[in-house]
Amino acid sequence: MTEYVIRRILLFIPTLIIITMITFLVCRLAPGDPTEMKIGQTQEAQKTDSKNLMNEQAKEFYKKKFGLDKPLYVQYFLWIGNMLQGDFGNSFKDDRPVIDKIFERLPVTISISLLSFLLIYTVAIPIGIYSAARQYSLLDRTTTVILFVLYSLPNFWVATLAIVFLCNVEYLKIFPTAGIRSENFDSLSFIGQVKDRFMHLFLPVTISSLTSFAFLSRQMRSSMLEVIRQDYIRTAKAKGLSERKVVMKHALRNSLIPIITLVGGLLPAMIGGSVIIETIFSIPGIGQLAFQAILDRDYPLIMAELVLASVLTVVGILLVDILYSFVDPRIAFTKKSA
Amino acid sequence: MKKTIAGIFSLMIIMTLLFTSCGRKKETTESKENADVVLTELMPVDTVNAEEGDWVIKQEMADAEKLNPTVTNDATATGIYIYIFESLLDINRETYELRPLIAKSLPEISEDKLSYTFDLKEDVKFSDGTPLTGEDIIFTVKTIKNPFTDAQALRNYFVDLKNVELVDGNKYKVRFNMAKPYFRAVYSLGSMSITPKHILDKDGMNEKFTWEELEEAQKSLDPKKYPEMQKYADFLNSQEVSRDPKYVLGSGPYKLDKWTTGQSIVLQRNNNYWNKSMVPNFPNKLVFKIIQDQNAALVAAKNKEVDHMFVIPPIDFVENVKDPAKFNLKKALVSEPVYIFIAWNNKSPLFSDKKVRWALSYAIDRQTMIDKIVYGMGTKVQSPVFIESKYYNNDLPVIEYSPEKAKELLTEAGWKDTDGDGIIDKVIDGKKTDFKFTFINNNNPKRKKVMLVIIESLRQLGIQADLQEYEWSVFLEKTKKHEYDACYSAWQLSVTPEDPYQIWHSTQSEGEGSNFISYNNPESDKLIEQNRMEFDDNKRMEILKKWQQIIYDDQPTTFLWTEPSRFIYSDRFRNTRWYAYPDSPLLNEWWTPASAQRYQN
Repeated sequence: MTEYVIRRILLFIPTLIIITMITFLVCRLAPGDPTEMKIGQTQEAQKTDSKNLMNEQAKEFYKKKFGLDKPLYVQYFLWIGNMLQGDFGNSFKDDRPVIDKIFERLPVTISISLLSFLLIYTVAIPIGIYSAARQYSLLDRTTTVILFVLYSLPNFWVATLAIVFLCNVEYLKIFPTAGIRSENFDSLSFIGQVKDRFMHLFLPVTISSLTSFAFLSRQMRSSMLEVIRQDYIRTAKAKGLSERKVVMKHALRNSLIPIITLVGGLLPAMIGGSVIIETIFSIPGIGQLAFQAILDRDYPLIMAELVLASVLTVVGILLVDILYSFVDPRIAFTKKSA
Repeated sequence: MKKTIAGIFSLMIIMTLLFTSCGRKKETTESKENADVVLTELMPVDTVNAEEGDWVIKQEMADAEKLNPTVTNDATATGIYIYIFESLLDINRETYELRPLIAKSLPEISEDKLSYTFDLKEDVKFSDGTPLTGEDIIFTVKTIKNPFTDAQALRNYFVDLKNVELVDGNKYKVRFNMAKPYFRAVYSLGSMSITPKHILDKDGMNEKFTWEELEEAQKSLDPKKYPEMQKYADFLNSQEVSRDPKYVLGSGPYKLDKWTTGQSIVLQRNNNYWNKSMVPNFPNKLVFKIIQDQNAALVAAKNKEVDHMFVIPPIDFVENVKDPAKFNLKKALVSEPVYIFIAWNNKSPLFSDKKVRWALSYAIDRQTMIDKIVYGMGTKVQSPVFIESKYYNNDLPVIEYSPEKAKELLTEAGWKDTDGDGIIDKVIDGKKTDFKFTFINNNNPKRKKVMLVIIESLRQLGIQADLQEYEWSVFLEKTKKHEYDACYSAWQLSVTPEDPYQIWHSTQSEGEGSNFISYNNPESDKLIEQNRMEFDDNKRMEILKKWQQIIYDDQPTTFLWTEPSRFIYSDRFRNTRWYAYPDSPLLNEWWTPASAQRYQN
């Protein structure tokens, strides 16, 4: 087992190098110029009179400063050399170390992702079990329809609707519109602060869960259905065990295996989804940061975020593999000695 | 469980219904709205009964990058640091004339227009109580002239500044010496935000750099030769200097209280402010709250989570805040020195002919677009100068929509449909060329509507135009590199005397200069150069009017209209004065009657 894990970790290195190489290339080959974005013009009107007007000399200055005047492969090797020493460089936009910018925002994104995870699993698994155990019942059919609807609704659309109808004095004013805390947060009592946080996080967390929630409960249902048809379940039923015991004790454990595989895929998907949700709800997390970084062609920041996302994915997959052997002893990683 | 699911389901149905019905309502009322577009007047000062207290929460689209005025040039930061830092002169927002702020009076300008001497007020203090003197001004200029600081954009305006000195060692009298005369120099010098030397340069490192050294360093740009300068620049460029309230400190009416990245920037009143009688600071706090999404921002304003915002899409301003009083909001429509135009790439063989450009200008129905797309909130312009300024040439006749004239001019220019494919063509350089081109756009829905209307009118003349959308940074790159045929664009102007050099002089069309339409007319170049050297305002006015006539005759771009800024704000504020000069309004002069104040402390 340990040997396996070590081997897998060593495999990270070539994987990461290839990922960074591709993303680096894609980043640079895409049109757009980061020095242009230093001008600070608004999209509505460019300014004629102000220090915002950039000339050739200024662009050269920034090109040199950002190292964009060197050949592409040199830039890549410089970048990867620095990265291996833990230096992701400074953001083009405000000269702050990229690491600082990401770490100050990471807790927000992680807590939203974890909360969504919790929500997804606590709701989706019971629904999946229930609709499998009562296949073709009225409830099974209604949940099927509802979940398909939820699954097909794009979350940016749901988010915009939620803001317009659930956060708006014109219709229903239940939740705040933006951010993760009120302006007077510091002056609130502890209970008040908890409530303030809850209200701010409710919509982002629920909406970012919607799609995965539908997906997961469908998965749960089908894997449960598969297990329920197995011989040993029939045996258990024949022994005269109660329906409840059969489902919860004998079927559940085996049907959870495919669900676990999904954890590995959900984590990076959540981080990806956070780009949309955080931008709409003005949540200062890394998704919003990534979105802005891409618009600004802030290469060091884009690269750092991509490395982060790919590490998360790779680690997620590894975790899933390890979890497997815990849930299902039939799966072993060490080669059987001949 | 059953109930909640049923609940969610019915809620969704209701939401869908509401959404669709809203959509329909919009379509039917669209045309009636244009009736009364009235600009908000500049009200007289109303501070007799002014009371201190309350906050003003303003919505911002994006977070600021840096708050040190020397090293920043982003739009959000500029709107915030004006409350923290001050300059020698400022602009009287009613007359648009310069007036003294930290200086006692306007500078004494030498006969040869090369030296500017300022007498400073002696009671000016930074918010920590330290007096502001000529030493701070010299220090600030040195940080700008230091070629390794991030002041590159600002540095352009100080290229011709040779040095700054105290006159006879008097700490309250400084002289700026220029290498060349330039009529706008007084604006650059006067508007420089002054940073504190005692905080940003405790050890006096900058005193070691002589003006000659700074000049040489600028030429060589070699950090190894000037390690000390590089070291100081590294400090000034660092994140602490631009983010930490300890360093972001000026002499202005507010000081930086707290900056929560991506969420808000809070300024707190400077209680020791030296100039309270002239520049009030009524609100306790100015909060700049970042809400990226426009829909969310508008809802936040209705919910009273935001007190003041700039509304970008005209449709939101007209349709989505129909009855502002219902939400305790008011609207303001303020003229802004901006003009919108269709840029024709003058280098393209399609648009190099003046007659063709005139034909295109005739073919565009500006009035209909103003009525339909911006809900009447627009005034047609004929030249690239702020329409309300005294430099604007009012004698230029409005170009009325006339497809007939357009057709005539195109025929005169040799464009005819010879092959009957519905598209006019002409032999250029021995090759038959169809009149086909592509507009580029930056994913802006309003701009897209304008261009679709234009494309349709051009189609009727036998011109085939397409539309290609790009992301903003790509759009900018394409225009700067002249890789486009035509696009919609806008320039924000100044209300102070105009210098068209950067945008219209032919030298600026080389490389990636701002003359991205590649306009080139020696006569115009000559007038622009004359204008730069002229210190007599009346003579400059004459030159500029003559220059506008040349631009008008050439029609290098089709000037569309100027659009006022659209604001909404909470009705609890008094003394909300709206100026054309950016940044407008000045939130420090707003106040709330004690009974209506919403925020304490």
